[in-house]
Amino acid sequence: MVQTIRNILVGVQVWPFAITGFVAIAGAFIALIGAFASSLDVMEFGKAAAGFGAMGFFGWLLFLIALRSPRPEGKKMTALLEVKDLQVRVEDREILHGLSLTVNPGEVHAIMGPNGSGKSTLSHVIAGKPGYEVTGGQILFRGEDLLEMAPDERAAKGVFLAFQYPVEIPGVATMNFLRTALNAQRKARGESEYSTPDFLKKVREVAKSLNIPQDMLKRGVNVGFSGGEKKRNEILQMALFEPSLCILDEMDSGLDIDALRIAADGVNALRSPERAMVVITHYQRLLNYIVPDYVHVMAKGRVVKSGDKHLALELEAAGYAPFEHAA
Amino acid sequence: MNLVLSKTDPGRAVGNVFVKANGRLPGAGSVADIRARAFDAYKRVGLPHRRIEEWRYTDLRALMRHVLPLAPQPDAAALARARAAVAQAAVEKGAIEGAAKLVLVDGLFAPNLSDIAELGQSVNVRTLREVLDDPANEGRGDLLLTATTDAVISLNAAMVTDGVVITVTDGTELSRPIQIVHVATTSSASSFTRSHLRLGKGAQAAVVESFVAAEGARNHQANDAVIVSVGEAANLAHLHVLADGADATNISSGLFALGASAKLKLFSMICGGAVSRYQAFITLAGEGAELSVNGINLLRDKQHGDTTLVVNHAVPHCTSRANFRAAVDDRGHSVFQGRIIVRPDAQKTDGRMMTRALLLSDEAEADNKPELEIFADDVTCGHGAASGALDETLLFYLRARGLSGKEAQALLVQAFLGEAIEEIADGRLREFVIVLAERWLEARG
Repeated sequence: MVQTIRNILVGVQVWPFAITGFVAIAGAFIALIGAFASSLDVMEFGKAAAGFGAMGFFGWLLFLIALRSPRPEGKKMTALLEVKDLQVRVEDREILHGLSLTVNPGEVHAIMGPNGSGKSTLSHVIAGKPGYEVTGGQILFRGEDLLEMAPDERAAKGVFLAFQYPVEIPGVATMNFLRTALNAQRKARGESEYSTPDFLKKVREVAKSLNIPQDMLKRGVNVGFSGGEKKRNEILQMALFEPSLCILDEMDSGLDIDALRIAADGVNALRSPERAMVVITHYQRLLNYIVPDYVHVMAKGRVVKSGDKHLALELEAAGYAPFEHAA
Repeated sequence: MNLVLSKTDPGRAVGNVFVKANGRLPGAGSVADIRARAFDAYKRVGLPHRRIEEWRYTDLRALMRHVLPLAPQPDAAALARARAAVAQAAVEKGAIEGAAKLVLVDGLFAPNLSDIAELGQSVNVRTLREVLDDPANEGRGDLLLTATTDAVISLNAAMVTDGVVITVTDGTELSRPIQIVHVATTSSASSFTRSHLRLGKGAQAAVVESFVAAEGARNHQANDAVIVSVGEAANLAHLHVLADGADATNISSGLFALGASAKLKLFSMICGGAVSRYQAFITLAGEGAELSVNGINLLRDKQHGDTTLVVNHAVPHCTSRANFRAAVDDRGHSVFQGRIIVRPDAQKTDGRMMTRALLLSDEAEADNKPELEIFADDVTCGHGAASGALDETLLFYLRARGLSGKEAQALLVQAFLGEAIEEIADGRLREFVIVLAERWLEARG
C-alpha cells in the first residue's frame, strides 16, 4: 500500500500537500476550540472544519510518505528521458527487445554498437518516425508518455533528432524553413513568435559560429549541401530551437576530421545543465570531441553494458564481438 | 437497312439554344452566315466526348450533359450584384495591383464597371458587339474565324454575344496590367464571350483574364475564347485564372500567334469551378520567338480541371518551355495534355515540356499526356511527366522540426508549386497567383 503511494508520488510535487495539510489542521484545531468554548450554534462550522482537518491530515501523511521515499537518480524528481523495457517491431522483425535507458538533464550519453544493433531505430522511435510498431514498454519524457505524441508535439516539448541523413527539400528556402519551424514550436508552447530582426540576428550569430555561409541559408533546405554542411545545418537548428533533449544519430558519418571538429564544437557549445544529449555512434573517435558522461553498448536490440567514458576506449580495443556474444 | 441518323441530346439541346438566341446575337448579314456555318461545324460533333482524342479525359457529354440557355441581358440589379462580386473577389481572392478592369457581365461588356478611360491613347478598346454590328467594317466576320476545328470554339463563334477587342499600338509599353473580368450573375444559364488582343511591334503588356460568380449565381456555364497576336519583338505576359464558382463549368480557349522575336509568358491557373478546361493553341510563327508556358491546377472535392496545350513550332529558331504542376486533393481530377509540334521547316527548335502532379489523397486522380510530334531533323525537344504523393521522409523531417502535419504538407505543396509560379516574371501577376495558392492551401484546413 505505502509502496503504491510512493510510486504514485514520485514525480508529483508534494509541497502543496504539506502546506494544505498544515493549514487545514491548524484551521480545524482553532474551530474545535471555538466550538467547545462557545454555544452549540457554531457546531456545524466545527464539523466542517474538522472534516477539512481530516483531509488535510491525510494530505500531510502523503507528504511524509513521499519525503521518506527514495528518489530515483539522486536529487532529481523526474528523469528527462526514461526508456523502459522498449520493444519495437518493423514489419515482422523485432528490432528492440526490452531496451531501457534513463537520461537526466545535463548528462551526455553515448550509445555505441555494431550495425543492426538498433541504435538508429531507438532514435527514430523517440522522434516519432512512422513505420515502427512499439509492442511493449514505455518512453517517458519528463514523466509524460512520449509515444502518445505526434512528432511535432515532441519537437515542441524539446525533443530534437539530428538526422543521420538530413533530407534535401528543394523549393523551401532554409531561412523560411527555420522561421516556420521555430515559430510552430513556439506557438505550440503558447509562446510569442520571434520578430524578424531578432530571428535574423540569432540565425546569423549561430551560423557564423558554425562556419555556415549566409548564401547557404538562402538556398533550398540542404539542396546542394555537402555532407559536412548538412550536419552543420542540423546543429544550427539545434542551437536555434534550444531543445532539452538532443539525439545525434551518427553525426560523424561522412565527415572528415575538420568537419567533425566544427560539428563537435557546435554541439559542445550547446552543453548545459538543463540539456541532455544522446550521441549515437559507431566509433569511439567522435567521443574524443564530445566527451560523454555515460557510455552504453547496444547489441541485438538491448543495452548490454553501461559505464563511463572509459568503456568507449575498451570497445575501441576489444571491438563489439564480446558484447554481441553477451547479448 | 434501317439507318438511324443519331443526333445526340447535347446536340439537340444546343440546337434549341442557338435558335432561341439568334435574335440576340450581334452582327447581321455575312456575320450571321459565319455563325450558322460555325454552328453546323459544332453540330456535326456535338459536345466533345471521350472518343475524341483531344477530349479523352474531359468528356463534356458526361460532365456538362447539355448546353444551358443563354443568360439574359443583365438589368440594373444584376449589374449591381456584379459590381459587388468584383469587389468581394478582390477582398477574398486578392486583386492585381494597378490593374485596369474590363468587365463582362453575363457575356456582355459593362462599361460602367470598366476602366477603359484609364488605359490612355495608345490602347484601343472596342467591344466585339460594336465591331460585329458595324456594317462599314468589311473584315468584321474574321473576328469569328479561327484555324481550329475544335467543337467548343466553333460553338463559341456561333453563340458569342460580346467581348473586348484590344489593340496596343507599336512600341507602347503599358504600365498597368489589363484585367478582363467575367462575372456571372444568373443561375442555370450560359455565356459565350470572345476577345481579341493585338500587340503591335515592340509593344509590352500584361493581360489577365479571370472569372467570378456573383452571389446566388449557381450552375452557370462559360465558354470563352481569346485570340491573341503578339507582334514582332513584342512582349506579352498573360495570366488566365479559373477560380470560378464552385458549381461552374468553364471552357476557355486561348489562340496565340507569335511574330519574330516576340515573347509570350503564359500562365494558367485552375483553382475553382466544378468543371474547368483551359486550352491554349500557340503558334510560333516568327523566327526567334520565345514561349514560356507555366501552369498550376489546384483541385479538391470532385473538381475536374484540364489544361491542354498545343505548341506549334512553325518556323526555325524558336524556343518553348512548358512547366506544369497539379496538386489534387479529395476526389479531384487533374488533366494535363501537352503537345509540341515541330513543322518540317522549323529547324533548330528548342522545345521542352514537363508536367508533375501531386496526389494529396488516395482518391485523387491525375492524367498527364505530354506528346511530341516532330517533323524536322535538327531540333532539341523533350518532355516528361511524373505523379505521386508527398514524400514521407520529407514530411517526417518537417514534423520532427515542429511543423504540424498540415503545415508540413502546405510547405511542401508550396515548394512544389513554386517552381512553376516563380516563372511569372511580372511581380504583380505573380503576387496574385501566390495569394490564390495560399488561400487554397489554407482552405485545406
